[in-house]
Amino acid sequence: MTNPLGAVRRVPPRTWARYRFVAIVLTPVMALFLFLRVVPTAQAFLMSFFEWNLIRPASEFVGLDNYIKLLSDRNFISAFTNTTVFAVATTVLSVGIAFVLAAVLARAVVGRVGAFIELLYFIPVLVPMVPVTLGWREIFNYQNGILNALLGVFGIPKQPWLSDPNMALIAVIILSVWKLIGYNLIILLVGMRAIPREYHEAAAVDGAGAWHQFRYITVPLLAPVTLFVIVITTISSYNVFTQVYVLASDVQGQPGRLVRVIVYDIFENGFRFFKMGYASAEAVYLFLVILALTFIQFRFLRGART
Amino acid sequence: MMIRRGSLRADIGRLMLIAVLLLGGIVMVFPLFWLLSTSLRPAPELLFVPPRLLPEQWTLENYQELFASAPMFTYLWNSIVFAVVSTVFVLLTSTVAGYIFAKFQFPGNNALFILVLATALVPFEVYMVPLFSQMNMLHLVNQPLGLFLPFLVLSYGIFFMRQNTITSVPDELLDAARIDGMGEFGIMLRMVPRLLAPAMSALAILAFIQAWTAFIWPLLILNDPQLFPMELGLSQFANSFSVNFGVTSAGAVFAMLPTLIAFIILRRRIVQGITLTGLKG
Amino acid sequence: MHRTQGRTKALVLGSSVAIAAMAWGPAAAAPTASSGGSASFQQAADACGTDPVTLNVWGGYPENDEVYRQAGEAFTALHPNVSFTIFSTDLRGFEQKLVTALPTNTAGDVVIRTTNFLARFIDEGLLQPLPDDLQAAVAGGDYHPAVVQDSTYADGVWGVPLFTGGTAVFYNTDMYTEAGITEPPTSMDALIANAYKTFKVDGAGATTRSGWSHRLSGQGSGVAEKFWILLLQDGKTLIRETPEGSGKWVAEYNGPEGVKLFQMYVDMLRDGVDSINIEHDAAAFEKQLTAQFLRESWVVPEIATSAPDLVGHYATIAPPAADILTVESAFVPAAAAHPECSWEFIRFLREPDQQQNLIKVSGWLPARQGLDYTDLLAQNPGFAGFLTGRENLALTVTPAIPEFDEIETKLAGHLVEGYADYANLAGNPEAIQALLNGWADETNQILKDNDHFGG
Repeated sequence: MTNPLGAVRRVPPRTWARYRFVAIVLTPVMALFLFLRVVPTAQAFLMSFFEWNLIRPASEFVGLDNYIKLLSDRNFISAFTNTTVFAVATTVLSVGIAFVLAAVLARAVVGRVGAFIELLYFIPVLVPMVPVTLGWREIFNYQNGILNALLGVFGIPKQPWLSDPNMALIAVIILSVWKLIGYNLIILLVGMRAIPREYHEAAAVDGAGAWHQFRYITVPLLAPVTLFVIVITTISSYNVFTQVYVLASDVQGQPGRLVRVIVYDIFENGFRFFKMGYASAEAVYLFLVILALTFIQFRFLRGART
Repeated sequence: MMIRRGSLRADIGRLMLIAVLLLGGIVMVFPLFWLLSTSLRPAPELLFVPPRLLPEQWTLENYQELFASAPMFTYLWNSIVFAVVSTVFVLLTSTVAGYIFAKFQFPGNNALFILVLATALVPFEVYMVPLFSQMNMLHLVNQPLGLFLPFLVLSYGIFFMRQNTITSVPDELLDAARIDGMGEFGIMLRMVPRLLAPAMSALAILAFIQAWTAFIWPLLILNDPQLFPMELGLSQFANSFSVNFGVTSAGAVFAMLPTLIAFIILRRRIVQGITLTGLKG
Repeated sequence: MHRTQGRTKALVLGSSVAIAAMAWGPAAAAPTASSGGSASFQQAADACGTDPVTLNVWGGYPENDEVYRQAGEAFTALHPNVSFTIFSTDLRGFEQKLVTALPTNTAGDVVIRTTNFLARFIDEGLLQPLPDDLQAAVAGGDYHPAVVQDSTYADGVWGVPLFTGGTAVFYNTDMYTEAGITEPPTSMDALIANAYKTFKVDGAGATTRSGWSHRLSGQGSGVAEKFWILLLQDGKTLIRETPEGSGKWVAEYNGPEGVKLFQMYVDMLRDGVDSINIEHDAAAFEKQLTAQFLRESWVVPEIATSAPDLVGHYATIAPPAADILTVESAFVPAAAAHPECSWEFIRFLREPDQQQNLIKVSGWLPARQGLDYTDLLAQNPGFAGFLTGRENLALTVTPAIPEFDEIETKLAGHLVEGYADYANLAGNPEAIQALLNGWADETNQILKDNDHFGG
């Protein structure tokens, strides 16, 4: 056991000044944060050990019952599988495409043309999700959809985009990747443009080709920003909901097939079946999985950099 | 794709690259074009089999109905205020916290950062009920402040600025400034933002869009249509059984115009930011 | 007719409450036999006082906003100090909002939703009890007994029924004629036979027009609800109270009638009469891609706007023998700021004129019975199946147990899987029976978990 005062004495006064600065600056931000995110989240997680129907505050403590029941809940298992497939595919595709695009737009195609192309790819980010999903539903339409008409030009038979369980998942992935590329693109572009031009020029003088510059300059220098993009895309993909809900909803009375995802299942258990304690336990599982994935991603990319 | 200025082969390669990018870009905007085209046709044309690319009979009646049945400009104004307030605060809180997490070693640094990151992982549907109860305790239901508060901090904004501080703010520069006698506040408020300008512009765009497209929280906290932001105001067109897709599309087009304009303007700022940072060498 | 004149006058002279009251007296008194006419109105005139009052009306169906807005305007003419804000969003958002707002006493002044959904809130004392005069009015014969039954919870009525979601068969008369069908479909057998006469396939054997557009996919409980309606035609239901009145229930859909019905679905899918991939429901009907389907009355005005070419080429008829009934009623939250005024507005909403206006504006069916629809039917014959020929329908209400939605939603999920497996299940009653038994086990388990199982 070290004497805490002893430890304190070893900190030089300059560091104390730094600590004070950190405390002054960070406290208000973290206080807001604590109040707006941490406290309500903690409350919800606490409720995962209770039978909580949302309406009545007094609830029955059930220990780990909710967690145990979930493990044999068919809906939860199918939601988990679907969401994981969706999240992996969406993250790989949207980050991968955005990365290549960003590399091209940062170095090869710049100026007005570059800006225009950037705008084209960014537009989907700006469109509200509900109407655009209704629009995609028309595009995916089996009988008269543009997509199947286009495939027909290449001699590919019509695909049941919205009614076959696997195709429905693919359709949601396509729609989500489409919506995400622009978002990831501008984040990665900012990172790439921040890489000083001299690095590339020096490499070019040394005879490094575009691929070598990309591999040995862009990729490693961009690692922190790429990590950010991958992590937030994974998180937002695991939280997918609106697209799935609208594609399978009653609007205009022609629902597609429901791709059950975790947040949908949480919504159904919590707000339809009034089993919010159960739904909270589901959210804790979701949380743990994303947390684990995030740590793996941190490790992996940190490893890649050194 | 080796690109050397002046070489014919490189020029052709560059043109082909642009052609491919443009083709991809057309695919990207097609659904949007579809919304626009839908918003300009009369209701019966929506049911054409097969559907046509362009309206046969162009009409603005969907827009007329949109403006006649909802106070769109009130929604627009509310959305602008909401998004601007949220963006300013998110920029401030994220830049400050991101910078501190990236550049200062202090006890609890990692633990706090993980806490920030962890809260980003929880779906809103899970903690919105307790959050709502808190707002209600403060009597902020149906108040603009109640709407704004949860949008003043952004978990991934802090994360984003931390990552960018690591990349774009060299320790040497900070130390040099300290040796020159610059105070910590001066460094944080005057020097760092200049280095982080591109990242801040990107975050501004993301924060703006986040507030602009917020739906569930405004839905829960607001009761008075005079306070509704756009997305919530539009929901009454989009979600009934017998949705009029023409009017919904008109609403979507109207709702995305301001963000489109904001993006075009802010994009210039990014370019400006880069020329600024280009000085750092 | 007298009534309409009175209302016009009230609107014109709206600033004077006294004159409006005189004009309105007889109208208010006429249908409410139990309460004295002008006396009740006098009390009514005081209900909102003279200080400025804003009533916030919350409803889950945006197409009804206009109905409440117009009613609000007419009400303001009678009570100049009262103004209105109308709030609505899709049902999902609306239910989430109610769940957060009612327990925190921040909900609107008038809330419109089903008694079944609000039952848990009634348990917690979050809704006002119905005033005596309205209690008597609801029980007093203005509403079909099934409407009253659906609105009854914990030995009382808590909201005033406003509109209902009845179902009718929509059928395309051109396609019927083309197939040589001359009679409207009045039995399940006729519906099935007509489906087989009207569907079309292309050269490759793919269905291009369905003979009957079934509900085969989607989220929530819709798929099971449509299965339920068809099962009711055979006298059976999803879960049956056993014994009657005991509050204990048992799954019934896995009986022979359920097997037969499921068989009908998968046979049609195998035979190409309907297909999982093609367009369905209202959209398919409007695009003339199906010959018939079952839906609520909102489709009628939707056809008039979206598919005007179809008007005159389709008809509606009540389902053969039975229907389910869901009733949306107007409630007042316990924490409402001006409860008397809220109830007064609800009294106003249940007036025959307002009920007539409801169906005219949004197409939803008024909850009151005995209204005269001659003009409406002349104007829009599409409503015929919803307003006529329903006297002998057996109406089933949603079982008054909170877990019913869970049962129905989970069954819906299973049905979607089952229909998709039609190739293996068509012509295989044993497999269907085993499948339905498995689902029924789950249903009964949910009932057991909630202490409502009566097997």
